[in-house]
Amino acid sequence: MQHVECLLCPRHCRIPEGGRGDCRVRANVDGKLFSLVYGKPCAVHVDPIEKKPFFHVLPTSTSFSIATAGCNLHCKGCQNWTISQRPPEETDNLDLPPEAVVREALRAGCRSIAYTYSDPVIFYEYTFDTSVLARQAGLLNLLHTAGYIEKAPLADLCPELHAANVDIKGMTDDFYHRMSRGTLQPVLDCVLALKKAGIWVEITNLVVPTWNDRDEDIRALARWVRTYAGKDVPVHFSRFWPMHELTNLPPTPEDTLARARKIAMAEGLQYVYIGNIQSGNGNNTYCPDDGQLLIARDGYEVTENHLVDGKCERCGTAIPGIWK
Amino acid sequence: METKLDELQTRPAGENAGLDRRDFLKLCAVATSGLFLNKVSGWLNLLAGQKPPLKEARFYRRADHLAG
Repeated sequence: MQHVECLLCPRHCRIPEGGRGDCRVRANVDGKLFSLVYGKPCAVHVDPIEKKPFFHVLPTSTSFSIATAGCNLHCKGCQNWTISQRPPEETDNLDLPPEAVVREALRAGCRSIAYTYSDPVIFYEYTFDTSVLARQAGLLNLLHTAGYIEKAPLADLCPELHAANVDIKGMTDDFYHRMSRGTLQPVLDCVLALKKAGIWVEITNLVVPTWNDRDEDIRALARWVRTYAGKDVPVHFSRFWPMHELTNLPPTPEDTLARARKIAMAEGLQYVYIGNIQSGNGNNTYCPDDGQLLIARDGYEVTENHLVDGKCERCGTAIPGIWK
Repeated sequence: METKLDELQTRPAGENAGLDRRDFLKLCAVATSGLFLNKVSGWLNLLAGQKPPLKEARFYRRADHLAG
């Protein structure tokens, strides 16, 4: 019986013949490892790019968003648990090979393809092959990932990517172990590798009541981002809704999200947003130099845009992002 | 052309709007039928015992069954 060791993510699953990795979607067949979800998305949607969330990439455009079943983390409060914590036999899957993804994205008028919802790490080969074709077709490739990936596969994927949103769920190994059965450092390494590769990065932190909503949790995240990733990296504090194994908790209070935003901005982060909620100022982009309202958003809808060639129309400060 | 114009003039008010609604519904039907046919072809393949080929993963290696 020939085992295989998967090297895609830090779990390094050792998989016996007939078995699968922890992610549920990579299987050992006759001593070779196969993806069970290549070309088989269970979620396909055309979404506003702001929903991904990307607030500094092609505002008001739409993104052709795909995901397969499975995930290599097991977050107790996963907001997409109905697909991430399922094997592909239990999801309703389409037959959509990479070339069809690109064709449908172009037909829908999308300017990007987003590999999202569950985690593109576990449908790596599908993400990779699709992103090669998408780039050739003039589409942007957007990754939304929990960042739990080994260095080598990430390095291979980076040349195809334009932007990535990485979930930094907490700032301790203990949190990652209890919440997600994972560890922290690979996620931080992922953020730094993406930055080094010149990919536009935004960060999302799902604020879960009683788990990671203390001032010190928010401060630790903000300080790390400012110190190692950069004060101009947008951070989205996202509202948790009771799901999966955390239905005993309430949704994140709006005050908590407002407090998180205030703390992060006090730590020097320039672009801090509140997500999964319509929150007025927390959805807007302001010039870090003169405070001018640059982009007003009502939820995912852009209602005002005062950027001119990616700069504040009043003072001319360049605002980082991919604006066209 | 004259006949066509006569036909249009004899139609009750709102008929053209109804034609536009029918055309819209046809377009919706074409769009959804593509997805439906995709599912049907998948079912037919299953019935025929055909499994689509699996994609070999990247980034793995053969391993001994003993850990450590």
